[in-house]
Amino acid sequence: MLFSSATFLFVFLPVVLLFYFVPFFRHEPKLEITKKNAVLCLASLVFYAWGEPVYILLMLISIYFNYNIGLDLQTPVRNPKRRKTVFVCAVVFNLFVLGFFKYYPFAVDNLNRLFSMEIKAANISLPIGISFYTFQILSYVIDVYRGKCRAQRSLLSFATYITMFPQLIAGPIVQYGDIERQLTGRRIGIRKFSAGVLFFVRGLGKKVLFANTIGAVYTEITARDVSSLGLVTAWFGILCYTLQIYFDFSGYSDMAIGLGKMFGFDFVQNFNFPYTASSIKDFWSRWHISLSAWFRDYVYIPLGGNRKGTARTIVNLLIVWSLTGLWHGAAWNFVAWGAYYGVLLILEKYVFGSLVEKLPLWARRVLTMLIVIVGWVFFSAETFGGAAKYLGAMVGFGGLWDGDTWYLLMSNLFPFAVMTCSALGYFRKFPKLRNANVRLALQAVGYAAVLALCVVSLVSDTYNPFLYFRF
Amino acid sequence: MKRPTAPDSNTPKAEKRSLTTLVCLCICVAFAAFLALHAFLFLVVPDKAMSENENRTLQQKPKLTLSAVADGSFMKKYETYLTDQFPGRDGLISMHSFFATLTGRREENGVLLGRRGFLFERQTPLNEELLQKTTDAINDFLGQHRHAQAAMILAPNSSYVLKKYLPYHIRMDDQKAQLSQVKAKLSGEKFSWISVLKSYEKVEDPTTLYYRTDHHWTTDAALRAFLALSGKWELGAKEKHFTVAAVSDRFSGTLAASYGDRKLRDVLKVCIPNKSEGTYAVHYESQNKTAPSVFDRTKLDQKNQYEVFLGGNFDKIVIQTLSQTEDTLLLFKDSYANCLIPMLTPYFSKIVIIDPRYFSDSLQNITDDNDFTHILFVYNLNTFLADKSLAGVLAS
Amino acid sequence: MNKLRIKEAACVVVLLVFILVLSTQNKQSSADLQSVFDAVSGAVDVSALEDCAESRFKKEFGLDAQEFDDVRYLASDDVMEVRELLLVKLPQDNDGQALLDRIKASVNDKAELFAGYAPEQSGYLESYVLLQRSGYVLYVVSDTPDEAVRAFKKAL
Repeated sequence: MLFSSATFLFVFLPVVLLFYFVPFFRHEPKLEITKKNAVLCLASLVFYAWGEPVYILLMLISIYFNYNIGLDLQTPVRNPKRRKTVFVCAVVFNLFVLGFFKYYPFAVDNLNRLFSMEIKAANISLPIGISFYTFQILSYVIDVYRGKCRAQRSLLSFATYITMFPQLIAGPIVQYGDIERQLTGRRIGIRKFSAGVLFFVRGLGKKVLFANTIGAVYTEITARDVSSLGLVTAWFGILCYTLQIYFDFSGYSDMAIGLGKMFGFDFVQNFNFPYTASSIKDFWSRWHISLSAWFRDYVYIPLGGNRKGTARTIVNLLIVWSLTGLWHGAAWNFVAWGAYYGVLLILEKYVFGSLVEKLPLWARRVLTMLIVIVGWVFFSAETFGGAAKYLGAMVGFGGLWDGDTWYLLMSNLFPFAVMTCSALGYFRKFPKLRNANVRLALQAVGYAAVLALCVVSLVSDTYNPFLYFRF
Repeated sequence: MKRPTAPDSNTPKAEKRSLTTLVCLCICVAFAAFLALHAFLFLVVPDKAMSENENRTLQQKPKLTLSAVADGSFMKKYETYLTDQFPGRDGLISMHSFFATLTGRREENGVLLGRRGFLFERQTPLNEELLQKTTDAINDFLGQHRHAQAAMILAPNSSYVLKKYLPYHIRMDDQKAQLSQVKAKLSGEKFSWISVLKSYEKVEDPTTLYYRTDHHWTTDAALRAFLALSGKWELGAKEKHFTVAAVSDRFSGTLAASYGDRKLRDVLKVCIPNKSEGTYAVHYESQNKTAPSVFDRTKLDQKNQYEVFLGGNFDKIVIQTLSQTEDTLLLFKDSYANCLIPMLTPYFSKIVIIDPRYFSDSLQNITDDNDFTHILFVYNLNTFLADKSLAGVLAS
Repeated sequence: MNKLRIKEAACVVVLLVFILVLSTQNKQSSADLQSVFDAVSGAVDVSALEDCAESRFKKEFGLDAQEFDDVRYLASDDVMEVRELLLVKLPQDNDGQALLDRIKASVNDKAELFAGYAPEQSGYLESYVLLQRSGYVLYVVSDTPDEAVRAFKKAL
């Protein structure tokens, strides 16, 4: 179920909110929070089952296994080696689940090509959100092993943490330590709820009004023959994709954070105006922050980080970034996209970083964006060949203009400009008023309009007239 | 005014804070009301079976079964059900197209909104292989019927003729070049190519040639083409032999429906030959019904008023007339021909009309029973270039 | 403490069973073609369709019927009749991908052909069913595709 679907907005969410907020145990806060967790957990299971009726079993197995592992790691033992064995088994189990369901067909395909074998991969589809919830589970297991947090004794609380539907299928990746306390006691109030509503509506607007609209332009452009795409059209197309992926992803994160707030949770911020970054390192501290943090805390630092000399740091960076790429999808273009950032980060760190710093801020920002945009070409193309062709069009192999360039530019200029300004953070403090209350009220009115437009847009997207056209 | 108050509630800071809480409360209530209202409307508003605007059946509430849930089809249908049955759906859709136009967008569902309210269809790209197949079939067919006079009326589309009204000067294919390409592929002893573009030249205002809201040419444009045909075939038709009369000023065609804009209107005209000796019978074979007129007035009361011509599209229609002539006509056509057919009636004693897309019989049966003196093809370029059925029918 | 280990091991076993079930779901079914065909053709209206020869199958999908273990194809000669039913038993070493691709191409072609002038036919083509399961490929264009799928799954 997507947040931007009628089923979610008008059936699922109202029902869940109703059960969540109608107090069953008015005078027993402990029972009430258990009930709230139960409602949330059950709702999350329904939410997941709605999209993956079969794989919900997989998630349940995974939850029960890791719940027991947590308890196991918590029990004091005389022999630390046995504790380590349990830990290693748990990590292997979780990586096996992720590896099997996400990367098995990819691996088989590569083995076949490498050794010209004919192994047949079983036809297994990817369970939604598996990359996200496996990473959350790993963060829990690792933190309990390290002694950073205590194991969760309540299966319900643990299941609530893993399944929580706001962040289940598209993040942010919530580390257990950040949320441990909130599972057993959290403040739920009018202010938090209203902040959640605004967050949610903003995210919905980003997804429905911005990402979907500009994404359609990109789809339209790539539907054409890439070899005859003019330079301007190609650039316009990839800029549209650049906006689409940002608004889509950050919109989804905003909706997740907003829903979390409605239920009383505080999730970490996942995007911080990444397109205003002034260096690649800066970009990755603003883009999908929870993922970068995860890789930093659970891969880069355990590998030794930058404390073991230059050569080791370079190797570590390359490993982390290839894995980051691979995490995004089981295909070589994602690995290439990750490695691209790995190499550039290394170069930035050791070669041109100090040179670039002498440039004025705007030049650094433009340079960073160029690198990011070229990265999106690899990310969006399904194959290397496709990416190369598109890059060819971007340097002018298909001429400067083509027949549709002007039309495409003109008919999308206004939305494009608005979205660009929004992505660059120009509307961040809008409207500029001293009185915080008036500002809040005005914002609320604005978001009400956004919500109304989202509904208009969601319904109209399914406008599917059958017309006697071909006569 | 000595009410007991909380220790800090009369400081300005606290006042501000309570005001903030009030605004927040409003936000919460408004959001809850929004969700509740829609959930309520879904429950109360009865489901519809059909959407007239979209001309399709709407999704009904899916049945909840275990197998439908397991394979996910229930969830998919449920989402379609909600959006299809959304309260006020039609209103929301026209609102959407209004807002989209405001932001500068000029295309919905593949229909372009041009200047002065003209709507355009995108063009069909020329597929060399397909075209060769169709033209080969036409040439073969004409070769088998050497004695008959043959002609082709291939109308360009509004996106070419009215290209200066296209939005933001979008560049489309040169249909003039495409027409000459088609022309070059056709040959036959008694075959004549009717240049529709040339027949348009005398028209002062080209905007009268196409509808704003529909993809067809107007009756005026069809008359131009017919007069050009009459010249080639020496039928002796003159413009004064026909009366062109408006039958509706509320015509809103397929392009308007596709674009989702129902405010635009066109005038729909019909062309009636003055010589009324051509009283006739129109026989719809597959429907097994005979009508006394090539017009179906009842269609003016329904949504697609273009069906006033011949009542729509049918696989095979035979028109018998009382015209004092031995000439008979075999006509292959798409719907562009529908408004032109009435003009043909005074000049032929029998007209057999074939729409190849619906026609499943063998053509042989028809050509064996009749000895046609004339063969005519009437198409518009977009459908002709996309056509995959004409070649098959001609070979049957 | 031992209890925990037992629970963990149980999870591993359940996971392996789950994976096993998932990956064997697509193993060859033992049901013979005739019984599957009877079940499916009983669920949809095939009165207007006739049993087609292998040549028609080849013409329609560009593949030789000999490549497959068994093929049953119901269609009609009427151009306005888009309903059809195809059931193919795949040989062990054939994953049917080529066939699936051809069928998809064919149905897309047809949908394009009927789009814009034949609402009923377009509706049927839009709701076509193409399934590959347990060594069988099922392709149905019908007014009741869901029933065909149900009968198909049951018969396997």
